[in-house]
Amino acid sequence: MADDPAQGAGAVVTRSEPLWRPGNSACAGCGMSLGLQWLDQALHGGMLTLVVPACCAVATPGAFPDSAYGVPAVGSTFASSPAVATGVSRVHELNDEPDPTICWAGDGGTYDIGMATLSAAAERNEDVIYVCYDNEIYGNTGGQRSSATPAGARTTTTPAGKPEPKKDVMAIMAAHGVPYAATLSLAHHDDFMRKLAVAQTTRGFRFLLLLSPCPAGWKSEPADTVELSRLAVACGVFPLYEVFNGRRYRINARADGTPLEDYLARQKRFAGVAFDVEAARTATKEKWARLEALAANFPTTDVSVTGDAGHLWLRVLVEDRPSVLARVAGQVSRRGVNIETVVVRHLPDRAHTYITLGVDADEATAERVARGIARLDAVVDVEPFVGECPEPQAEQEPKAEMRPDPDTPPTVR
Amino acid sequence: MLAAAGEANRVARGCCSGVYPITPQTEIMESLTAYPFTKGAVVTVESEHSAMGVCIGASIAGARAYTASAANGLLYMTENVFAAGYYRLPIVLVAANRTIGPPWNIWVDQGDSLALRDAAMLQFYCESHQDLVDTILVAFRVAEDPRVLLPALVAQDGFVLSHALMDVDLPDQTQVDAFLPPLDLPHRIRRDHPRIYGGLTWPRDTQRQREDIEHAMQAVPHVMEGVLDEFETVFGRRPAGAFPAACTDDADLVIVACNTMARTAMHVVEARRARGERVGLVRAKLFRPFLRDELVRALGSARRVAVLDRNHSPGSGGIFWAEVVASLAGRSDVLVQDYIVGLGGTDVPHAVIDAIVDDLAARECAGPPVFFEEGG
Amino acid sequence: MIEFVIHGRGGRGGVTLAKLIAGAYYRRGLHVQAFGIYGAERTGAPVQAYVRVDEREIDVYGAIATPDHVIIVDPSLVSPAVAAGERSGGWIVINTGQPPETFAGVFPGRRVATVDANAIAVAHGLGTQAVPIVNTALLGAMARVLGMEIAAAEGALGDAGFGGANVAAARAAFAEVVTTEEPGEIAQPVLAEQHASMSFLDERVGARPSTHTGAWASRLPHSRELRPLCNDSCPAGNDVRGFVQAAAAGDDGRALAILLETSPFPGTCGRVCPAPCMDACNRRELDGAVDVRDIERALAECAAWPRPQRPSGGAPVAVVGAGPAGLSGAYHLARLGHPVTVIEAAPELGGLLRGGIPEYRLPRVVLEREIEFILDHGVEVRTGQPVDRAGLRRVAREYSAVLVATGQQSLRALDVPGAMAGVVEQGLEFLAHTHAAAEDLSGAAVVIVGGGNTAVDAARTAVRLGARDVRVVYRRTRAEMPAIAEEVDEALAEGVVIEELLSPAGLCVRDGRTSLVCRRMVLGEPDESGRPCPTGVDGDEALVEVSCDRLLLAVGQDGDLSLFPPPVAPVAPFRGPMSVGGASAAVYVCGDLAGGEGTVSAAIGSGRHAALAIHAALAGAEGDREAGSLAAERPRPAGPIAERPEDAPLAGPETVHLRAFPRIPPEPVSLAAPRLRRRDFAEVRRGFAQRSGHDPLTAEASRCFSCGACTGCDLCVI
Repeated sequence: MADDPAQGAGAVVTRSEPLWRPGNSACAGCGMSLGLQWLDQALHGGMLTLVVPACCAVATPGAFPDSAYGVPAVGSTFASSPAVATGVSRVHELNDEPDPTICWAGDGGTYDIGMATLSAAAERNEDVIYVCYDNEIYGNTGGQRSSATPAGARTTTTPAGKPEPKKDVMAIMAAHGVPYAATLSLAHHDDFMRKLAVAQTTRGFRFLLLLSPCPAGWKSEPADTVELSRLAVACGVFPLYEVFNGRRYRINARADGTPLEDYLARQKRFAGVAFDVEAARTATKEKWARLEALAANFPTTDVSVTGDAGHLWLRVLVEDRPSVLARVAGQVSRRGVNIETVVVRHLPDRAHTYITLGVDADEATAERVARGIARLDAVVDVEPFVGECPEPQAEQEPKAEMRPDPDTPPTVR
Repeated sequence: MLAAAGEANRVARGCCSGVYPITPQTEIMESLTAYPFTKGAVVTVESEHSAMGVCIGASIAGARAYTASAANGLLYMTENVFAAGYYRLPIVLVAANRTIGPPWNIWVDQGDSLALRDAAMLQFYCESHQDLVDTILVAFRVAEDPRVLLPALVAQDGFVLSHALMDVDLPDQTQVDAFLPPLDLPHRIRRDHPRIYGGLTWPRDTQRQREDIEHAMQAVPHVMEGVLDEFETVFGRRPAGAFPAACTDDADLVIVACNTMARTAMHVVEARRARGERVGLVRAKLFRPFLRDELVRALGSARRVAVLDRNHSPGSGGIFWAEVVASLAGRSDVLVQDYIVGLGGTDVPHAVIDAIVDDLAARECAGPPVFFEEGG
Repeated sequence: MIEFVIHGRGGRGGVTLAKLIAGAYYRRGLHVQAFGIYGAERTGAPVQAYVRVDEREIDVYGAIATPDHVIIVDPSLVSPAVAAGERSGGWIVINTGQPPETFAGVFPGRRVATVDANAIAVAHGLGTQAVPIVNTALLGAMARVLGMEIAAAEGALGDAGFGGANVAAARAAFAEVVTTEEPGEIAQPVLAEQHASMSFLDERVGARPSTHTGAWASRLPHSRELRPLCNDSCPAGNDVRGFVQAAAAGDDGRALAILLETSPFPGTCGRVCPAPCMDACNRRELDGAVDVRDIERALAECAAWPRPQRPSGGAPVAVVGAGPAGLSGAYHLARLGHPVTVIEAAPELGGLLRGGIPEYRLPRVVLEREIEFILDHGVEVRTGQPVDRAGLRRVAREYSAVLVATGQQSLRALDVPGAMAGVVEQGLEFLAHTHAAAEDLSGAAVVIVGGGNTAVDAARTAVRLGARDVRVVYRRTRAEMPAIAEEVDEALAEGVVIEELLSPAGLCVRDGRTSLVCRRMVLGEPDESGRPCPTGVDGDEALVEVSCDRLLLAVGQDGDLSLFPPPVAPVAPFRGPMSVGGASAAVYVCGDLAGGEGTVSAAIGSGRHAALAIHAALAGAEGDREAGSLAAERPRPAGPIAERPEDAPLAGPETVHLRAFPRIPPEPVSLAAPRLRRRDFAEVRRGFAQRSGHDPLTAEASRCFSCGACTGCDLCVI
């Protein structure tokens, strides 16, 4: 039995329904709810299948027969979302359906009960985008500690503040070597959109960690959700960074000297407990030292050629600025390397582009070229590899389509 | 056979299986991973829980999905087995019955699959390789019938069957294709009709959904009858129904047993019949739904019933026995005695069953469940 | 048995309150039962909690239908249904700041008590401002109305592990609860209406309103677009938010197309518009207004201009006067399909754009380009043809409609005693002839009277012509000057001096040098223009002399109404139709002649409105002058509220959550150095500063908050 003709297997389906309809029962100021709206924006109306474990994201769309989700959404058992997403994604693949499968899970389903399933799906490199909306608490059950709860935070099961620090799930996912892992903030819209664009353009397991303020659990003002997201980044407790293939670290926003107290003071979960601000500051500093070390030589720490059979390619993720292609190409040609093919793929955020260059070079030269490209300021990532061109052939263009260079005189009409 | 059933869906949305090894089921997953599917995927996951999770995702996405497990694997999978039933997904789950540990014991015991008896799932128990092969195909057809749409468990005795080599009439792909139509799951994920699967429900809706499941279970006998007819047309043989019976028309004493024990019991029946004793056998093949009326019909004229249970529900007794007693409620003329045998893989030879028949024949009234051993 | 029902909202502590009440009775040796009924409710959703108290063991379960006492945690939950049943005499305790009498009518036969537990909870730091936790305060109030001692409440709190602020809140409520014994009247419909109106998501936007989500849990909120202040303030009627957002999205072509729907002069307005949109910009307070003017300019320079559309089928229309208003009218009429003929007295088109704005602000090439674009819509031109009253009658007979946009040709004079030929000149005339042939003012002292753009333009032109000393004499202060602030800044940088609070009194000649005698002024009460009214200071010491070889007047101009039969009263933004001399064609007036505010963008808007009105009249449409509005042809935002964009409420600063945005200063613009620009008429403002690898247009447009556009973020539901 063939698929419905109306659906046209293989075709990209766009939808008119919002992903997350009004009328859901999310609390005022719910970070997750805002995150779903942003996810919708980042998908530009594309179809997808959501897989959501038994968490707030299944409780807030409303009860049968209503649902706030305007896309297919599978409410899985708590620990199972990466496994269920695996099944969905594999069948999409068997049927040439391009719809991404997106897991949308809380920190309970990610850091704790779902960790084994998550780890396994990441290790199998399933073609799934996994977004953890991390509210640092078991929000759906009324606010108990999770392993994502930061040290010092009061929860219903840690009335005197949690003694242990937050689990570093990004390090765990990076250790799996997933193609893409990144942190997301609800105060950094452009960054969010770009990362979702990179995630959508990447194949394999993609892990995104969204800090999701929870006014009910954090005892914060609902109106402060975006502000708290910003403060978390500004004071350094929630670094914005991304990891490519588990090797190449890139920091997107650094702490700007905002005192940690500004972030803590807006949340009553840190009030009324013996909170050691100095210890928290030290821990933040140490975290940054580790992160800076990992990102120190970005991305030159690892531009070794991967893969073993096929053509040699340089895949470069760039900010879509004028003359970037020329500068990237310049890095190749100055080492006397011929460019045989150029494939340009614009990301859906319209601000970033993958430039894939087929080059005629030996691996050592390719790595030198990659290091040179990595030093260009508009370059986000470089990956030299041997294999098949990852971009659809239809996207091949002889020349890159970039915005006109403002340095050239404008033409009118 | 699972692979052939999956392959039969290549013209539809393909097949997909999540598998995780556990003795004595491991050989099934090993053969699945090696199978050259035209349109299929076998995902080697990290646990049984995820194996069923992958099947759930694949099935909701419209593929034919199946997996296999045993013992603690089935228990670890339990949450998602219940979920698969409540999602109304026709996933086929093959169980190689094995003792639940600890302490660890890899031999046959039906306690594992019977622990899932309250899931919304069909349960078939097979007495032979041929029965297993045929029942898997039947299970797919019944489970996928729009009147049913429930997962199905097909159980076999671990080791006794799962690790035995026997000759089997294995249908070829053409025959399987002829019997097993492509799956068109009515409520699968559709991009043009977004639904939520497993959202919230209020109490009344929940009760109605459970009632729907009960209606689906009640449809099984009728659906199965048609499926068996078609099976006979395609393959030239007819697999057994819910309670295949032998020599029960005029029997005074009937043995109720499942799986390979039923085969052994048949030998006892034949031997006793040869001696002129009016002994019969009812094999419990379909455990869920449990068709009480069919069982009563199958028992025929029997006034004494011995139930052989290779399982144990502590504080209650044998699980088949409890169902048989419930089926005969109000029948004070029938004496039903429970014999718990072969737990943990203890062999149940001819002699044990012979002794049970003697024991039952000598009883004046039924007693509590008996843990019966050879020479006991 | 005594039964209580608590109507609460998720997160406010209703279920805990039930347990606390039960605890207070348990301490008295009674059997108690307390429980809540809730499912997946989130903060703010309606939640019920129940308490049973009895001397015997309680063996009933399930919800309570006819309670003795009812506690209502949120006044929006008040309805007669909460006190169903025959249990008269019970208490209805409501968390509200209103007196109990307000609610007495809803609950006949019941005693009503009110207490502002929200305020008490917030004062004691319980919960957050948006979601105060009111249970302990309400316990205090309950203890009072049930005739318990406060100690009973304190004991129950202590048993449950509450202390500190919670006990203080209970005490406060115990003291503050207000009760009435008086039974009220039967249900008041007024209250029911209030309840209904509280349930709609109307204009609740902005920071920290109280939490209402629960009341909406079973409703579908609808999103509503608000009208951005920039759009509202644009005299040309530009969809400012629309084109800036299109530019932010990198779609420059669409951005320019949006601009061209309302104005054919983006390159001109992108240079000379005083940009009231930027004054209105909500971003102004955070880190500076979005530089709409330079965005518009950049779009006109960089984006691809569309091919002019030339629909047909309309009736011939004449436009008299080719200034910005007339050309705008001609452009829009042409786009609406009318064959248009522009009749202009001067040899060239452009009016004040050509003669009144110096080259260094508006290069002629930009103006020519935009005029050419208008003419490309099929507009016919007749230049060098002044139209007088008789001429207008002829034109009105020849065409189906006439649009008169001759502007303000009568320059206001200033009675300056002692004035002599060759010294005093009208600023606009000075500006017009300095274009034609540059005059040498080397070494001269030039004084300009006025505070508008003409004054500043004349001053800066004088600088460029070599004047030694250039002063602008203005009777108010710089703050009141109508000239564009940036232009004044640039003039100061070029060496122009602003003499504030001086009013010319006369010219005198001493030692062969002329000087302007001025009277000092002080600012008084605001006049009808809203600006403080200057009044002269008395006495001789109030007179000041300003050295002056040339005196340029820029004190305004008036329309020449001699074309029309009197009486004619100015009405903005356009006027008409009127009949002239019995001709069949209706005559419309727009632009400065119609009493416009004197800016290019106002003239453009006036011309467009007139064109739409003419089109509507010629098309036989109803009188609504927006009936043929180009804006109305654009698809409206989807949503259940079908309202015209211009009717939507304004998106004022209170609708923007400023703290949610990082501070990003405006993109720098490039200015020619003052030293260089004193020498020639090259353009001073060069648009956004260009840096390699940086796109200032998109960057600056991205600063736009898109005020009033619903992003569906739901934060307004807070």
